[in-house]
Amino acid sequence: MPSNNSYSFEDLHEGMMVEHEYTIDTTVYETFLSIFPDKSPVHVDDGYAKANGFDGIVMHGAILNGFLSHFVGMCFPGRRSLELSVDMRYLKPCYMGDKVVLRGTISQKLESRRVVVLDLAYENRTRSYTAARGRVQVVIMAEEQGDC
Amino acid sequence: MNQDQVISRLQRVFDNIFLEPVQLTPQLSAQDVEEWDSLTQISLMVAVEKEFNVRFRVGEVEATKNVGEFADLIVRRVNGN
Repeated sequence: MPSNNSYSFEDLHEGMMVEHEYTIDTTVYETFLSIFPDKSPVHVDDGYAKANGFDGIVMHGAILNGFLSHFVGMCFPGRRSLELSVDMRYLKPCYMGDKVVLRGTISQKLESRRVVVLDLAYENRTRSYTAARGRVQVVIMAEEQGDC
Repeated sequence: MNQDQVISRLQRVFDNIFLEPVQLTPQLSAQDVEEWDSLTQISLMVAVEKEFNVRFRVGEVEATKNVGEFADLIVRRVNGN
């Protein structure tokens, strides 16, 4: 997951958009399970998931939130960001091995508080559908020491 | 647009943000509502700027003492002042 951006508040403008691709591989899945052991059958039992209409075990929606944390903190707006709130709607499932492009678009700037609102779309490129939509409020903090 | 009309629209904004119902009056302030903290204040400002298509300057929302003064600020901003 390379990228180490650091946009300033002044760099950001409404309509600005950045994308980043993530893969839900076994490392992501197993690491998530080891830290947050939600082992409900739809997430770990392939037969159970298929019997309930899915193509296989369903990846946890919170994995997408994890990608968002990386996206906001390292890609866009980057290292000066702090998430204030997240609203996420999971629309369609993601499965093991799926590639997901997270697209963030600035829909609003709150100048008086140095806050930006990003509209989010998770495009599942493997399955050609939108897996989730969301919105995140982010405050942009002052420059780091050594920033130029 | 006057204060009453703004508060009526503000009520809908508050209804979408606060988990517990908040009945707006001109005298109501953040100190009266447990859920109305600094993070909720930012969500409110984001929603209000969008609802009324206005922009606030640094510190002017914080300078209002209650919903009535906040509504008056919105009235002024909507009217271009």
